[in-house]
Amino acid sequence: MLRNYLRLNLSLLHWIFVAPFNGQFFKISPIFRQMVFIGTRATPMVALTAFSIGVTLAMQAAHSLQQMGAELYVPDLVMLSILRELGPILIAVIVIGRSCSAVAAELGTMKVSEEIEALEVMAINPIQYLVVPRFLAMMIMLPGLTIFGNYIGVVGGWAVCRFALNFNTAGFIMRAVESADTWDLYSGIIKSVVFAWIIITIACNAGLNVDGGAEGVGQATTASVVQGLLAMLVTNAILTGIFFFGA
Amino acid sequence: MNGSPVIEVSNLMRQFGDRTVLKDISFNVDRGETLVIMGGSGCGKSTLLRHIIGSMKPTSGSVKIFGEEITTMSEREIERIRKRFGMLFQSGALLASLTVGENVALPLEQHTAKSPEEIEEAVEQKLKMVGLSGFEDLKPAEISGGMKKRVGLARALALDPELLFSDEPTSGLDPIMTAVVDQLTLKLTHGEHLTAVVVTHDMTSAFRIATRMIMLGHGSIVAQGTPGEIRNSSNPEVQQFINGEADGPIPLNLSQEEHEHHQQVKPRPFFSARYRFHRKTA
Repeated sequence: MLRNYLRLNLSLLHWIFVAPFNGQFFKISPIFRQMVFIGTRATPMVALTAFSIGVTLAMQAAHSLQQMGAELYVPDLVMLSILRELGPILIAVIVIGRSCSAVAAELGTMKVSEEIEALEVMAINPIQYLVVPRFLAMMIMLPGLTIFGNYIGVVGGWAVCRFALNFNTAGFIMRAVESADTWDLYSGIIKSVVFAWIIITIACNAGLNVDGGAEGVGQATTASVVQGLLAMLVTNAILTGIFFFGA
Repeated sequence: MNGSPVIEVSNLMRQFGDRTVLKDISFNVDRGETLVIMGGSGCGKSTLLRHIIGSMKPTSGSVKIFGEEITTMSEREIERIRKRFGMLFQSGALLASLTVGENVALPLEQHTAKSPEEIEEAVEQKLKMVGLSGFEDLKPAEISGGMKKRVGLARALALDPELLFSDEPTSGLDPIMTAVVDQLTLKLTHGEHLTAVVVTHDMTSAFRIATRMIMLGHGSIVAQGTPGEIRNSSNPEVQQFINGEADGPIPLNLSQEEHEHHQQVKPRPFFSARYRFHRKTA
């Protein structure tokens, strides 16, 4: 299993970085099609989730901080937690649930119905034809969605501050911008790039290694979601350790 | 090149664990020939086909296509060979996410520098050849099994290959469509010097198209020769198979192990159902 996964990663790198220089360039149009599936269609869900989390976070923060008379710090807390942790994690969770399961099921069904073998016999490499567009689309869209979700989440925090805590908008922006560093934004985006890599390769690997009919496809779909989530959360802990606890 | 055989298989052997699935298979296929491979379920036909197209590696022995050894080739070299042959899968194996037209166009888009107009024209011509003009915009899920198979044939022929492999091209087709597909194969092999390797159970179709036949049994070649020689063969196994008799020397009970292997290599629900029926009535 792990060997298959590493081999998939290696051939993916080969098809993206080496093969184009040997005249085997991947097609661009399927990447856009996948970007629509993975990214554009997830925006309403991402927006709703991020907004709710921003609102919830601000309400909880207000409740705790008010007791200490420190509700001034609500924007700081919302801003930092969303940019550093909640934004990248939650949006990765949504994309795992929406897209990784779909990719695993799609590739798994293709494997079961001999379509992958047919591609190989037609001298079309399944990694190049199927995995590369999905991988690149994910690498572009997950960070994109994360930036988008960050904005919406902060807007959620603003809504609570503005309408329940008597902040004015300028005050909220001032506090928020003052508290957050550009590094807070960048660290979140770096995380989402790493997550994108992990979750899409896990999903493709699960799909391509399906064995045994419809049942196998079901198992691969479940496995892609479970393994993707676990790998993503563990990686997040490691990255947070490196970014904010190291040195 | 013209004189040498298109496919040379010599002493091919394949073992899964300690079970020998193919043993000592040797045969040649010359240019313009149609070789029919027949044999009962689980006898290794599909495994043999997979070894010839390079998707499985033999334990020992050699397979040469167009004079080049395929068993020791790298993936990339095999791809170069694969562009020169077409393969029709038993189920058609069309990509479900693409339309019929896009499926046929796929090899052209991937391997040629043709313009979209030229591709469209080629697709139209190939679909016309299999009697499916006007079906370009349907998805594979919207057409019948027999039509899928014909689209699969059109796709296999899209690059005008020198060599065509068919895995049961006529199972699931009505008798008229079977005759059409057979005539198409004959036209291609006679007119355009296409070489064909066909795996089939359909004896009518086999005798109609074959210039040579091989019968496999338990992983080795039971008989080979021209259709005439096979028909007049004194081998009782051959006679039982071509006449479709329930009683004869071919054992009907697959052992559990063989059965499991057969399932793993390729389930053939239709044929195994027929098999069980024969066993009951025997």
